[in-house]
Amino acid sequence: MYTVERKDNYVIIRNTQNRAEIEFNNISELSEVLKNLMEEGEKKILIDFKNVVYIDSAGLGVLLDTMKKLKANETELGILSISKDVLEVFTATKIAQYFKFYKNI
Amino acid sequence: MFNNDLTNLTMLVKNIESFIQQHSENAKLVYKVQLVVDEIVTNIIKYGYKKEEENTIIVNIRSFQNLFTITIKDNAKYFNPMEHTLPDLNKHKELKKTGGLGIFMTRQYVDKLDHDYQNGNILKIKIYK
Repeated sequence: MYTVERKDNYVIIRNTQNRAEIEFNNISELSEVLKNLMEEGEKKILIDFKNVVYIDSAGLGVLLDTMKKLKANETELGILSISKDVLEVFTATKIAQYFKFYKNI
Repeated sequence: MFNNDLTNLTMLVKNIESFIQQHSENAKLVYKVQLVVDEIVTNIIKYGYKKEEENTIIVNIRSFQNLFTITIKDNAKYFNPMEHTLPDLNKHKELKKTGGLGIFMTRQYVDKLDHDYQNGNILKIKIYK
């Protein structure tokens, strides 16, 4: 389950689970939240990865796909507080280049 | 051994995670092995079989002093991940075809991957500790 909150100019999406996994079986939840924010015309979206312990290719695929749609719309999609292990999945697949990573805001 | 249903996959991945944790304290390694098995088995279920068919996938994982060996057997159509063209990340359509990104991730994370076909695919994987 995801919550959406505002901080300064950003909209932050947070997973409410303590050890969240973004994978094929549950990616539609995050995809739906992102789609709604896009439709609402948000310009700065951050996904908080603090509680995310695992992401698979389906999760990365949705993020990459969303990122491309948002970029065309001049919207920024950033990743907040990602762990070293999860970040490595982004770098190993060369997907890291498409995102801005924030330690905190 | 489990049926080709994605709902069974979560349990398989959890079992893999606890097996690796029993044999290594390296969190990065746990992640690697978990991800590799998850991606390969997801690909077999999604692309190897027709949805309505019930089939079996056999996953065997063994821990040695300096490595894990993983064998994954199916009776699906021929598919060798090593012959798969790596996706162009700028063309997302390529990622959606036959799990391009998943195969790419797998190839980044394994130390050795051999494929054989005998009435099904046999993948032999080595990941060093």
